[in-house]
Amino acid sequence: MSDHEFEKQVHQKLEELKLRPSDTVWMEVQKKISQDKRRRRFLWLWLPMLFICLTTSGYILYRFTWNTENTSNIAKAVPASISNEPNAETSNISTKQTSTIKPVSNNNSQTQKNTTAPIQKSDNNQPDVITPAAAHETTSVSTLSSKKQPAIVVTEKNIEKKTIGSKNKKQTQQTLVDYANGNIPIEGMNNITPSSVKPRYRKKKAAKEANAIKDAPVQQELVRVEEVKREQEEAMNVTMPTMVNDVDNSIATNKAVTMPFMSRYGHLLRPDSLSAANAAVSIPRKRPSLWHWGVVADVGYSRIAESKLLQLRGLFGEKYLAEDLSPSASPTGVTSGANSFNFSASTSSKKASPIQPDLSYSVGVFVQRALSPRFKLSLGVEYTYMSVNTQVGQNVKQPIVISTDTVNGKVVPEYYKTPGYSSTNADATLNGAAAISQRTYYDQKYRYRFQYLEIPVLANWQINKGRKLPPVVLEGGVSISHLLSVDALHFEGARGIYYKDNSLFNKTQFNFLTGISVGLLQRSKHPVWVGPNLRYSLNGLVDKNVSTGQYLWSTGISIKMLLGRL
Amino acid sequence: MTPVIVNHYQEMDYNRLVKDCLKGLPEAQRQLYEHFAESMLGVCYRYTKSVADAEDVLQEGFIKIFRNLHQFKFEGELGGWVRRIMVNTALNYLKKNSRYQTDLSFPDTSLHPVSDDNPEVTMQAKDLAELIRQLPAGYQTVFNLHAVEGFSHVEIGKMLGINEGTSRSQYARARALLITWLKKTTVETKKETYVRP
Repeated sequence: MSDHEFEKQVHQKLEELKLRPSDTVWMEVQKKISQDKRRRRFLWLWLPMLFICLTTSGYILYRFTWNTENTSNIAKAVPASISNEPNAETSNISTKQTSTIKPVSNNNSQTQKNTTAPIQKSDNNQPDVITPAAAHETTSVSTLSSKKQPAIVVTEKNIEKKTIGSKNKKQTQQTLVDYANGNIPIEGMNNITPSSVKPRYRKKKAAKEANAIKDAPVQQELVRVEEVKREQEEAMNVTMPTMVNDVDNSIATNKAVTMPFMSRYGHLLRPDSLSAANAAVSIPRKRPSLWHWGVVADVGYSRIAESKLLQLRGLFGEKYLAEDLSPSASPTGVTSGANSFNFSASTSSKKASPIQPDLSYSVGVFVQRALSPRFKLSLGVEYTYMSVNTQVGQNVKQPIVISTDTVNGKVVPEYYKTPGYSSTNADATLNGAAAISQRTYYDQKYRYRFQYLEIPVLANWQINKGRKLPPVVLEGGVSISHLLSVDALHFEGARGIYYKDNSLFNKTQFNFLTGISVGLLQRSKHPVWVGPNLRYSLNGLVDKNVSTGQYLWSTGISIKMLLGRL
Repeated sequence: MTPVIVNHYQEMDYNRLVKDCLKGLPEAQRQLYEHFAESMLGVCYRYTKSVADAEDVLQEGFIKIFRNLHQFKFEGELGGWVRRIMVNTALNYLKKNSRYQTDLSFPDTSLHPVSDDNPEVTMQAKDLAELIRQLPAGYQTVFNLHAVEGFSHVEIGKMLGINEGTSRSQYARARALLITWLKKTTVETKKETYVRP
């Protein structure tokens, strides 16, 4: 015989080994499969529902905040318009829609235009599973299983003694017809039942197991009395030295028995260790990539805070008024054509309207790398929308020269006045009750919109192990964002006007990001993290030469989903 | 009675079966299970010390197979793919189970030469499997991986995190021990056969 003859015989013999599993194995497998199916089905219903719930709650939260802070302004406006306007025409004007806006100039067309302009209301109105490719490359095992394996060798003894051919067998035969061309029933294969042990008595003791094995028909025939003794010796790793004739083998046997066993094996076995080839040629194993990618979205509301030393006004619900960007020096008279202002001595500084929170959201993609099982770094690209709103007054479509500490004599095409009553030049030609009747209250909401392209860098640290409870992840980091577009106003208190000048906004923002999230569906292919987050700008919204500090921040609920490996 | 040897695995339309399983058809899933369950329990049986443990491994393995069936790309043989998952699951089971952990050990022993003894294996597959299962767990694992699965010692070393020499040594000892037992069992069987009439 050749050197490998023994191995060949062993291999061939053991390929013939077929044991009939108990029915409960399939029942358990089927149960798990159906659970997975239900979980997958639920996933696709659950995610849209979660998104809808979060969006709705964010909107309600935003509306609640807005309504609470806006009630006082409306309450002030109502009595003023009623008491001063006994005229029936004026009284028809709604207290909210009091801006039957009149022009500042005498231009009638301009007046018409302004009159028809609507007042803005709230316009929110992988397992260790071997890949098939690897299985294909390593043909030795698979070839053996299919080619060398003669399926089953059945002896007459076995056939006579077997109690197989249960109901399951018949079911198998029936179902096989659908897939097999040969239609040869499985019943022809008299497989060996491992034992007469009742199924699923998994955690039986060794004594029961020994009895079970002893009861097997084949065992009875071949091993007989020696079987029980062997089972007892098994625990002690007895090597039957009395039966050893070969000196070399006996040495080897004794060594093996007396050799102290070190418990090294536990940490050495790897779950994916079999992904390497099983053929003679060593194939390097592919380690699963540590890079993941996914999508992230958050929805919430944003505010503007005024930051001073140890004071973040507006951050904790305080009322933050628009910052006055008037020059710090005493203002000089600025004129602009027919629309002339001279406020050097006569006009006192006007108060701005409070800045109210408004909707914010962001969507984007990210890549994430696991540095350790509980520490990950992520980098992303997001589109971020943030908005706040404020009340402004009459819109005047006339150019005006604005002046700040850095900008001197810049002309803006239009501006807004502060909310309140205003009389036009035409009022001067009227007298008495007629002049009073022409006075209207200008109050409209103006939404400041900021759109950024943001690149966040985040460190995620999983606080708990996430085995019994869902994993809780604390994340923090910074982001750099570029201002894509802006629609916002600046306030000049000296003249009480709001005007647009996008050049005053910082184009680049550095933000601090933090949040906490709970991991859901961690065993699925697309695990999800949901939790609150906070974004706070580290540098000012407006050029620091002009502003003392306006900081945009937002908070909301973030949803992050992993979509796959890179 | 002439034994009926049927190799209907090759005649099976695996592609259709796998696709049906992926569609979630219970009949196809049952069919796949029935095709591989018996041979795979034989595989699991060789790596464990009890039938109950072998069935646990089989159950775990099939759950993995069904969960990851979408990864099967119809390039290789389905049987090989299923078998490798099962072997891998068995190794994981040994790792997790404390009963096997204490028994699984791979001391760095000196190289033990493989004997030239190649006795003829005449016993039944089940009995041979029983003998292998009586080997110490470390020997049993290495012997199964090398002699039956066909892994080289280099690969076994990588899989179990041991030296190639340790794997060779463990295998040589396991082989020698098994041959000794085989000879003894054969002698006992002959004696009984002689005495019985």
